[in-house]
Amino acid sequence: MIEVIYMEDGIRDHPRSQQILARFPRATVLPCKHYKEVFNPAGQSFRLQKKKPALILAQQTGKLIHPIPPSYGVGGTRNFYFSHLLNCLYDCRYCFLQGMYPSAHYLMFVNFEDFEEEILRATKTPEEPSWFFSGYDCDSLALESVTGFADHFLPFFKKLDNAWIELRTKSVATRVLRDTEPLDRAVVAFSFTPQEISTQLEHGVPSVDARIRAMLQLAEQGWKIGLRIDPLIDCTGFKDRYAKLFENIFTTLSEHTIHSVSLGAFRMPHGFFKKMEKHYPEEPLFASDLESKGGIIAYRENTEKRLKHTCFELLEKWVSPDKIFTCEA
Amino acid sequence: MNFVIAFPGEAQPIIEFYELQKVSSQPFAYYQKDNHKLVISAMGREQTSQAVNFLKTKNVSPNQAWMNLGIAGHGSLETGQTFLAGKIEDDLSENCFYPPQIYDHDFPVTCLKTCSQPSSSYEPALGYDMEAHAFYAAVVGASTRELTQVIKVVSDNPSSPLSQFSPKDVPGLIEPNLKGIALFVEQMEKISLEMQQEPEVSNTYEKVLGMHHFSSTRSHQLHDLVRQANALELSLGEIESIAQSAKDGAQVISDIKHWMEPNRQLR
Repeated sequence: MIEVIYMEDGIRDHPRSQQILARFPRATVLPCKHYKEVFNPAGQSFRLQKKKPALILAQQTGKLIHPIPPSYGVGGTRNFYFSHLLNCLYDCRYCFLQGMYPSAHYLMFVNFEDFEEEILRATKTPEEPSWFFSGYDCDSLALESVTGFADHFLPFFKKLDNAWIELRTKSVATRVLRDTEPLDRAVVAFSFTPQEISTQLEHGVPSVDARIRAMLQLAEQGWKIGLRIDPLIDCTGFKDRYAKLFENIFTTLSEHTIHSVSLGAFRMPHGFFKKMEKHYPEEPLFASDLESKGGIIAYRENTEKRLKHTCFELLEKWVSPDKIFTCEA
Repeated sequence: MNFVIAFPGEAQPIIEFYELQKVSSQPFAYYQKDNHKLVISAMGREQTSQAVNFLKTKNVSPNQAWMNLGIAGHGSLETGQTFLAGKIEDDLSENCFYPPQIYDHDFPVTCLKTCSQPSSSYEPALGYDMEAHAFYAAVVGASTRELTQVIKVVSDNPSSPLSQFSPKDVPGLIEPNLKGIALFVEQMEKISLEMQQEPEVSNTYEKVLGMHHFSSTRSHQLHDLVRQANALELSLGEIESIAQSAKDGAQVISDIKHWMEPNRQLR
């Protein structure tokens, strides 16, 4: 799976680096002084690297947790994200990572303990719980067998009484969760588009049915489940397709197992969109009826309203409206 | 494929394999057949940079495949072993290159150091040459890094040092590796084709561009619209018909937009 590992000189002896190297004994290991030498140079093709991403092992320095606008939250007011990993196992054509990063290599930061220290500092303010979103720059679980991220961080979050963690994923590799007692303040959030859209846009992602089955297992075990209907993709038969998706989900899972549902239409910073369009000029999604407004490429206002309104109405049949959150650009 | 090779002895097996014809001798020996081009640079950084720049002038469109091929010393690989450079260092520069490894092959991938002088000392897992770093630096910008690769065949190592090596042996080192090298070249060329614009898009764009006057902005808009219509699997012939009926460039843009509007939805 991983054929080449680039490794920063400074973390060669880090126990987590050594564990990962042991998992890939046949991989070629190439040293680098700093991950930016490999990850950042211009003139790389994200599209081509997606054919065979390498793994970069590095140490993250500077600010390790970052605030998220309140409109992206699911009920909390103190929202942060942190990224132990940049880039994703999957290849979703709407994903902003394609436009944000010059490289598709998996960039993993092995200094988990430094992230923990910063999370602890952020949760010292006692009055309000803090939310930590771990699936912003990657899928939280898809590369668990490589990173051991959830295995490490779930016990850490279990000890914090005023911090929530969201694991956001499209993966069905949920063994780490099945082997762990559910946390009171953790949400396992699965992202969905209807199967017809997933087939066209979410390359390498498990089927919708497989993800629903994985969700059910976790819900039955007691994990709080999040649904992330984001991005909404305008398509022929939009209402029927999303109705069928929601029916499939909610006839499988009980409403009480659902912590939250978030809705957000496809939108993208202009610069990211232009890069994505350059990588994939043949992609029909990028030829959709989109407009540029305030530096963001998104569906026209009426279309966006229609998509959100339609889904909100469809969801209300299945789930309490106070669990539904809409994400704004 | 654009081959940049230092010595005639290294180039000869490639010239024969791809049946390349000599096109010119000055300023560099230059060979070509179909989409294969080869330039013989001579030894060293400066000559290599100039040879790359020379080859860039030979109508090379963006995102072509580029390869620096030749012999190299190595601290741990056997002589005659082909290897791929995964990291290219330079004894005069802190700057390193990391050619992305996206191809299927059986070659070992190792670090390679470009040296100012022939090197007779060897570190384990490190190759030594005199061109690769300059080659990579010169190609960057003309193609993506994935399409810029360095392949070397080991000519000398600690048990068979440079002092015992004869330039006459060079073709004999390269020839047995040609099959593997050719498979690698084939993959790079396939990927390069994937990166080229679809010819239907450029053909339609050029045709419509010839029908009316388009300002710079409108010609960009036209190109985007043709590309989008192609992505949406709409008939590009219809675009030509629309353009023929329009009175000027502005109307072409407006009519194509109007025609595409109902179809801008994912299926």
